[in-house]
Amino acid sequence: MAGGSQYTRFILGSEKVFELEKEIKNWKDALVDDGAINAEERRELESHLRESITALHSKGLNEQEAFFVATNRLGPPSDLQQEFAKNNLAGRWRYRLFWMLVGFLSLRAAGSTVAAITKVMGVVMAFSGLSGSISGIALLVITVTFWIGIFTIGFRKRQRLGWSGEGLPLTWVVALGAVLVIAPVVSTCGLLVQSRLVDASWFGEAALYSAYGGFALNLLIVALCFTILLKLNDRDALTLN
Amino acid sequence: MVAKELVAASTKPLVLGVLSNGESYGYEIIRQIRDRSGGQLEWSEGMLYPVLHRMEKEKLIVSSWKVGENGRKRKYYRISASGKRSMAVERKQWLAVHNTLDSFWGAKKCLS
Repeated sequence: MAGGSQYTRFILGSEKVFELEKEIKNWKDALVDDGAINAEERRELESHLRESITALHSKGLNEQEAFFVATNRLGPPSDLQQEFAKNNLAGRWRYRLFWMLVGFLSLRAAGSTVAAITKVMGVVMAFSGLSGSISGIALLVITVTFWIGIFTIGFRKRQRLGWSGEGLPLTWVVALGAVLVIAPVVSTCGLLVQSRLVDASWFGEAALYSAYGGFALNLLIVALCFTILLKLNDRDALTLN
Repeated sequence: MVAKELVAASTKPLVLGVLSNGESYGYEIIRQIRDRSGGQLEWSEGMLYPVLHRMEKEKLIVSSWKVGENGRKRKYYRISASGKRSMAVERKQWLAVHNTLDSFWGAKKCLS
């Protein structure tokens, strides 16, 4: 049970001052997972919890005891989520789709940022007269550094938000990992074949055109994602607070 | 204490029964059922809400947010016309079960 350690902390950590409002907020936050319980339902559960705490408080229990008993009577958040999820199947999937799109867009944003920085640095290096091989290695180092930077920032933010990242099946992780490894290998192989078979001017021209096309396609995909995102964000079943 | 499955099965008619006496909110519904059953009917309180929401979807009950007498916002539920019809059907069925059981178990009293 998710709440288990919390309760133990109340009992053992007697030096900690019990703040009812903070505990209610924590309890409410624990219910936000996977879109199973929407904002209104959470408000209703909170209203019940407060009602229950007040009643227990008036029976002589202190705030901490009343909170403990009231949350126990309501049932563990994981059980509640399971029960509510039966009603909110669509909401749950909207929530998942939302986060998938958020993930996709952020990764895309990060990728294009790194690519742009690398391109600019490449131009700078070309003008500074560095040899091709040294420039290549330097650009690789820059790319790696920026990617590490982006993931570090993302990870720190995730920790601050306290998101555990539960619920992603292992098969998905494996599939994603495979795509991330295979896709660059395929594109690099394609690039190598092209550069061996075709003369430089054609290669340059082709690259230019495909870059234009790729740019337009990227814009289109991003615009599409944003449209869906805005549509999803309208629904009350989706809460990000 | 009544078994979990039986409590779950009887939640809907119980809620309809409570609401047929006037509108009420989750916490109060649970309290009333607990009192009326003499503490025999008790379940994880949070479990009532998904049932209430399902019943609302089925249009058996109607909900609205109101400020209660203590100044706190509460979601009140009241029974609808189709809820009343559903309650009559439920009543028939539960009485059929009850009477059947009683015909077996109630007979013991006469024999002894």
